[in-house]
Amino acid sequence: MSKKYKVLVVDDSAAMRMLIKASLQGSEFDVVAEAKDGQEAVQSFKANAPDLMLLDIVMPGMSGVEALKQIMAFNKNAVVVMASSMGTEDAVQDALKAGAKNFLQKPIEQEALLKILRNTANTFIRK
Amino acid sequence: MTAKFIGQYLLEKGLITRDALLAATEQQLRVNQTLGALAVAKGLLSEAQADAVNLEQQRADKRFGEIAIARNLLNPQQIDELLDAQKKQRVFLGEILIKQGYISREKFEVELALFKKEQERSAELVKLDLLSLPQHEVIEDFLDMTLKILLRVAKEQVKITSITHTALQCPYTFAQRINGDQQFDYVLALPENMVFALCQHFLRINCVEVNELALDAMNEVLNIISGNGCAKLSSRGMKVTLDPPRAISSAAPANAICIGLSSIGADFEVRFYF
Repeated sequence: MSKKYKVLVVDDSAAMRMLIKASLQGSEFDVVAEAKDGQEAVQSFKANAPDLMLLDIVMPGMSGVEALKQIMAFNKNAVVVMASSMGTEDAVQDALKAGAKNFLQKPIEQEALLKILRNTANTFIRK
Repeated sequence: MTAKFIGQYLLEKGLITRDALLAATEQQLRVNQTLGALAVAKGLLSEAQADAVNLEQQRADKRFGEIAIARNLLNPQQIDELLDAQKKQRVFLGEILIKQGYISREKFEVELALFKKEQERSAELVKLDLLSLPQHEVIEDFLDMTLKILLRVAKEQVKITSITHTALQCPYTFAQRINGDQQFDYVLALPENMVFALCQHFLRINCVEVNELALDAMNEVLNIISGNGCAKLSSRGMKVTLDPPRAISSAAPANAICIGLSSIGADFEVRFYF
C-alpha cells in the first residue's frame, strides 16, 4: 500500500463513527479525525487538512450541507463524500450542488463504503 | 392477531431452538444471491453497473429489474432469466431446517400448512386496519422501510402483528420529526432484549448493557429508517425534511398510531404521532 489517505469522519452518532472507523481499519483510508456536527467539521477540516471527508447531513446545529458550503469556500478542491440516510432527491441535489463528490446512502456496508471511497480517491485525489 | 415468519412460528411452538433458527436464517442470507450479484456472475453487468442499480434501488425503492431496464443495461427477457435463475437457486428456511436435522420433513409440512392459514387470516385483518387510517400511504411507506432496514442492518426478520391506538409498554423510545408536506413523529419503542439484539448486529459488538453507545446506535438505526422513509416519500413527489433523533417520553399520546411488530424472541413497536 503506497499511500494512506487521511480521512475525516463527520457524524453526530458516535456509533456510526465507530462503525465507519472499524470498516476502514486495515485499508488505505486512515481516520485521522472525527467530528460530531457541522461546526466541528469545518474546524477539523481546517486543522487536519484531510485528503477525504465523509460527511453526514442531518445533524444537530449546523447541517452537513451548510458545513460543506463553508468547507468548499475554504478549499474548493476539498474531496467530500456525503454519507446520509436522507436519500431524497432534494438532499442529494443539494449536496452535489454544494460540491460533494459522491453520495452514499445509509445503511453503510463495508464493501460499498470502500468501493465509493476508492472510486472517489482515484478520480479526485492526485497521488 | 398474530403475524410472523415460519421460523418464529416454529420457535414459539417449541419445535426448533433459537440457536437453530439463527443458524438457519444466517445460512439462508448467505446462500440466496441478489439479482445484481447474479447478473455480474453471468457477465451481464459489470460490478460498477450492478452497484449503481443497487444504489438507485435503495434511494428510490424500485425493483432491480425496473431500474436496469430504464437504464438500458438489461432487457426484459434477461430480467426474466435472472429471476428464473434466482428462483431456482433460492433456498427456503424450511429446507435448511430439514437438511440440518432441526425438524422432520413430515412435521414441517404439517406446520407450514397451519402457519399459512393463520397468516392469511392475520394479514387480512392488519391490511383492513391499515387501510382504515387516513395516513395509510405514509405509514405503509415507513413500515416497508422499517422492515427492510431492520433486515439489512440487524438481520432481523420482522412482521407486523397489530395496529392500535394503545402503546406497548417499552422502556426505550426513540423519536424523529419529519417536516414538510407530511408532518409527524416516527417513534421506535423497544424492550431491552431488542436493544441488545439490534445493537449487537448493527455495531458487530457484544452488547450486554444499555449504555450511551447502545442508545446512540438505536438513534442511528431510527435515523436510517426515517431517512430511507423520507426518500420513499420523496419518490412520490413529497417534499420532506428530517430533524435529528431526540429522546422522548415512553408514554404515547392518545392519537398515536401504534404498529406492533414481532421478530425472533421480541415484540416491539413503531408509532406515528401525526
